[in-house]
Amino acid sequence: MTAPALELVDITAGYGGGVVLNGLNLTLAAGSVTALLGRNGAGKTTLCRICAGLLSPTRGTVRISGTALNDRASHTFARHGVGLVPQGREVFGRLSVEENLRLGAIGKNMTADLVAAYRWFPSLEVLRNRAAGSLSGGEQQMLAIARTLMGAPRLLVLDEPSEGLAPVVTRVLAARLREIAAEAGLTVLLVEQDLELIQALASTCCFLADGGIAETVPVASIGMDFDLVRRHLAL
Amino acid sequence: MIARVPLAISLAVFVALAALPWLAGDYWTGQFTRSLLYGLLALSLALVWGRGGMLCLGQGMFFGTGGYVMALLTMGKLGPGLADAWLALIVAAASAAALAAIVGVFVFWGASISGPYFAIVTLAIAVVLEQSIRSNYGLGGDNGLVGVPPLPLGTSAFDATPPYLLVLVVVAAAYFTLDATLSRRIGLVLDALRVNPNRLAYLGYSLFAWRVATFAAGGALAGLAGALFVAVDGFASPTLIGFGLSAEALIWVALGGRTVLMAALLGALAVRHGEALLAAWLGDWWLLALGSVFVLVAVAAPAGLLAAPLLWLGARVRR
Amino acid sequence: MAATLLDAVSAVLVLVLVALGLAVVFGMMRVINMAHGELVMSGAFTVVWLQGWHVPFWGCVIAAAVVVGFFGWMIEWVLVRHTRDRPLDTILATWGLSLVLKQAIVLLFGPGSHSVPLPLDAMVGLGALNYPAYRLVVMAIAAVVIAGTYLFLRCTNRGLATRAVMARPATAELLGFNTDRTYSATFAAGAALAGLAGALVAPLVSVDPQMGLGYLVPAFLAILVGGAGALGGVLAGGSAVGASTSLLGALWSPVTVQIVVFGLAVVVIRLRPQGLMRE
Ligand SMILES: Nc1ncnc2c1ncn2[C@@H]1O[C@H](COP(=O)(O)OP(=O)(O)OP(=O)(O)O)[C@@H](O)[C@H]1O
Ligand SMILES: [Mg+2]
Repeated sequence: MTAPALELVDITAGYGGGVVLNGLNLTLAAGSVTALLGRNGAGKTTLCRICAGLLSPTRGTVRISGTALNDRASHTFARHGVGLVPQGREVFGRLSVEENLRLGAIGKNMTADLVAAYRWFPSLEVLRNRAAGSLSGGEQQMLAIARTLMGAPRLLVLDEPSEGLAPVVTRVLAARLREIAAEAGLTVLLVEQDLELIQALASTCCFLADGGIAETVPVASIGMDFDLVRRHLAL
Repeated sequence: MIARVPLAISLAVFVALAALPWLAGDYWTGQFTRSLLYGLLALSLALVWGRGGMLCLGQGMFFGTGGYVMALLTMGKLGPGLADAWLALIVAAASAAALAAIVGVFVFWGASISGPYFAIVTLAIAVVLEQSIRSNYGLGGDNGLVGVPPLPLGTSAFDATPPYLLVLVVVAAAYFTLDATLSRRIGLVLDALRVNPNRLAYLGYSLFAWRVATFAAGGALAGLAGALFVAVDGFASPTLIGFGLSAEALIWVALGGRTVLMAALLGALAVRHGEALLAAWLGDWWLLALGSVFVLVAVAAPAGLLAAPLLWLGARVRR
Repeated sequence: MAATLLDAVSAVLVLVLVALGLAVVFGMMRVINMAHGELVMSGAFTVVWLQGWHVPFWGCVIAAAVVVGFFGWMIEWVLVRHTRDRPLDTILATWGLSLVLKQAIVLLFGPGSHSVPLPLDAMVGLGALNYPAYRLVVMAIAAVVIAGTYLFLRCTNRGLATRAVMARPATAELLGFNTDRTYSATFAAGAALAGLAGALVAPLVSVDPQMGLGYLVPAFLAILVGGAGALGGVLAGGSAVGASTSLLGALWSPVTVQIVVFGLAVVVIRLRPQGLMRE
């Protein structure tokens, strides 16, 4: 039995004095694809930042593949296989697409396998000498994901990858992500608002509310259960 | 709002200083006259940098400007009719304020030069001013202007007490005026100017006007200090205007406490007299030690070393 | 005429070399290192010191870069790292450090000035003109180092990583880059460049504890005039400040020139706060 890809135990975290997450527990089995839902400001991004070591919890333990990494710098998390695609993409706007991709590999002392990246996202190959800042939102999102994949993460955390994308683009993205996750045996934590993308990718769905995981249900069941969605997501 | 040293403590400090000539003799009285004027320079920097948030690396230029204007006027170099010392003091302070206002308008106009850029530009201006004075023979070049007449206090030129008391009164007046002003709305505006200028601008305040005004006020205080210093010392030298004194003033204020006026003032006194005492047995190591302490304070205790004790004492007194 | 032009080119290259380390640190880390001039001075004094031990000049130059680079590494570790979110305190701390370094040199070498003998005495004939060989060598080295720095940042993986850390430190961390280590390496490299510059100019100037300020201010003005961040800016700013200083020096006294050039530089900074080379 392999260790879970991610274990969050009794996590409390916030900014300044304010508490955002309070005693949160979450375990992701290796190879699982889990969606995380919650209303705006529920703390989804905060949770992602904790998974990637950008924020240290004030209490609790973060274990990545069985290793506790509390209070370690973010690059240590990356070296332990966490790849976060941050909300807002954060591509290096002044650098070219290809340089952005190479950085994903260099960061982990790996040689960049651009061929694989262009196989997953063929549209990037055409753009490879363009400055990343000049790409469209969808293209930047692809780039951000591809860049993270260049570092061969074992746990991929996606913070709202569909934000600001056209539905068609979201569908393409979903198909792509499904292939990649299956091919590389990735564990995925997908923070999303878009139910279609969730249904296309995830098998389990967690609802984040009041600083903890309020409910965990199979994705198949949320299609019917409007009450469930309304309870956790409506204003 | 920044905590304030209560009146009782500042009064006690000035009363103790007033007793000095009767306790310490002429030599120390003369020394303290000078260091009180350095203290006034420190106050001006505490106003501009500590409260206004404008890190000026060339505050000495206003001190020196005041000094040279005072020397030129009282030595009668600009015409015998203008040689009145009291008038000269005012003109000197006003000239320094005008220089500060010009620099301020130039720097803060439009897309203002701020933060680190401001620091470097003020440093460059101070360096240029020092260079130009050193090479100007009308101003005595490297030697400066020698033979500035002492203040006409009607007492013997060898009695150190009257000038000391005069300087003490001026410094005390400047201190209490500043302290009272900064404890009103103006102080709040300055704190906002330092901490969150954008929000202040939203509220309809003109950052430009406030910055220029604060900088000019600081210039006036420094100019007044420089003018008195030259009259006490008897000569105006280029060291008053440039890099060296500016750096020292920065040390006094940083070590004392940049946001607390009394801490800055006492910082100047403490460092000046610490130097007199310690330089005897530390020799050249004194400057090294001072510099190292300064670095440590900047890194680990940005509030300064005297501010916290003063405020603690203040809280006890108030209770 | 040709000599004046060569002098100007030489002044530009030396100034750009001095400003380069400052620009790397300022551009990459947004850190203003007020002790940069004293690092240049330390480089020059390393040469003075090692020459006392009869180390050959070029050995001294390399040693100066290494020693001062190590200084820089320590400075980053002890001072800069702890004031990263307080830029004005970084200025203060490095400014204090400049006083400490100056005084340390006074204690070690005395307050007076030292001279370093020219390692190359020869004159080189360039057509009708005889020009000191050592100056030409310094110009060549400066040009190579400037080009090398540019190529390093443009064409190597480490340079790419450095640019990424500069642009978005948190994102770079996410990708696995150790930003702390990048910062200390950058600062050390900036210091090493200062040390190298100091060692190279040592035979051309009088080496004294007060020499740092004379490098710091023009270098900063060059960076601000050219525009911080881009290396092209250092070249442009260094050319503007260095060439005007050198060319006007043929006409006016050094002090007048300094006043005019500093004044012009401040005006340019005022009119184009982004610098000449704004993208
Ligand atoms: N840097 C910060 N400083 C202070 N508070 C913050 C910061 N970032 C987030 N917060 C607060 O923490 C709470 C959770 O924010 P978070 O970004 O995790 O929400 P989210 O669930 O990702 O929301 P969204 O769906 O809008 O992305 C919010 O109330 C927010 O105001
Ligand atoms: Mg979010």
